[in-house]
Amino acid sequence: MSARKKDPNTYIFKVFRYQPGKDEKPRFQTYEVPLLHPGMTVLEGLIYIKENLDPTLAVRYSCRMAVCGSCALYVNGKGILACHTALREFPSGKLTVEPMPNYPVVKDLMTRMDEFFDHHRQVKPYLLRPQDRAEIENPTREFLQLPEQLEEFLQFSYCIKCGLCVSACPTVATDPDFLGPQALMTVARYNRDSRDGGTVYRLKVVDAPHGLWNCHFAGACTEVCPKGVDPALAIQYTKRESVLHALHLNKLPRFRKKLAPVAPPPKPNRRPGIPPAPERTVPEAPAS
Amino acid sequence: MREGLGWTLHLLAGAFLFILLLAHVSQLHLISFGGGEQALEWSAVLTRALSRPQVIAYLVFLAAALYHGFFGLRNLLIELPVFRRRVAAVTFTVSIIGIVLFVYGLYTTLALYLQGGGA
Ligand code: SF4
Ligand code: FES
Repeated sequence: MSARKKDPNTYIFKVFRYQPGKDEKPRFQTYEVPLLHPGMTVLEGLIYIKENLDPTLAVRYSCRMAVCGSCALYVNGKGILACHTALREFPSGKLTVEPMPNYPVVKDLMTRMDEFFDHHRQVKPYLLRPQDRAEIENPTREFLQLPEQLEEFLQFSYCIKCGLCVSACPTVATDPDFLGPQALMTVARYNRDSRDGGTVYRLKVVDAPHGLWNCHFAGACTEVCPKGVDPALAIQYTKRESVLHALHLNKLPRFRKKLAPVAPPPKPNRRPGIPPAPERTVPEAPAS
Repeated sequence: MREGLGWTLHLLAGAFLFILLLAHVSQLHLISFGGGEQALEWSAVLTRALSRPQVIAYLVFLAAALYHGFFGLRNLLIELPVFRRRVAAVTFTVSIIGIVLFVYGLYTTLALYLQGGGA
């Protein structure tokens, strides 16, 4: 391949191809992809290949708008969301496209995510309030949370579970049993939420071998995250929490977590002066 | 033991070692702290060996150094592929070696202390 593509409107895709069980070893296949519009993304390039050049290419995607996290892969050694990265970002015009490392390959660019989601599930990624079980199981009202309490965990809730942080983590590369940055970040996401009372349950899961303390703070997870989440910071928060629990300092008023209360039952006239709702203009659907 | 507690003790032992090492080095090698060449004379060694606070400080030093070193070693080992699934066995073996070494250090320190007439 020449040093620079000849036609500025053509991109050279060198794509990883491998089907375990069928192919002996991985190989790279080269395709020429025309720039169909100025904002064309890597994913559109791959879809072009699939639709026009080689239907056997396997690539996973869904939302095409950086929301579902399905299209994470590596281009020129860097983890990206294919749907959120424009071809213009590669001025050389040459792209080496590979699946995420640290995951088994299903086929070509598709990786197996079972273990990733298994680790995610292990840390109980939902609100736990053992003291309010009835309300959690049959919610009647919302929990009250102030904007500054929301700020405590907001960035961690932007995670779309693309798995890029785990692919970049050097500890996962050497210890596949390590829970990984995404699951550990999720612990901080919920433990820092004022509506949640499940800190001890999550600490029990992560304060174990191959858990929290195996993080060596390489920071690759934060570097690669396409949503601006900082898993390395989240893990530091959880390490601090673990130390506080180990020394029983979490019971001190300064560190004790105050659970968000359940909202009081709505009063009939909570905000006087609001006019009544207008009459329906569309008839109600008949009960089936 | 929960990992968090182990790590907290590891960090505390590290901080403790730093302080004790400073005291140890300054006592033996820095004249301004009352040490210097005389500190290495046998009579000075014996005086220290017979001083109860010194004996206690050295035993704490030994415990902190052994804990810090061996917990660190255990953490290195359990990340190696060969020991990854043998965490309990590694922890047990490393703890036994640490305890044996501590008992040995305890014995030599106390033997000198008691034989020298300290009590
Ligand atoms: S933390 Fe970032 S990189 Fe990791 S799974 Fe979530 S969105 Fe992806
Ligand atoms: S396709 Fe959903 S994030 Fe890219």
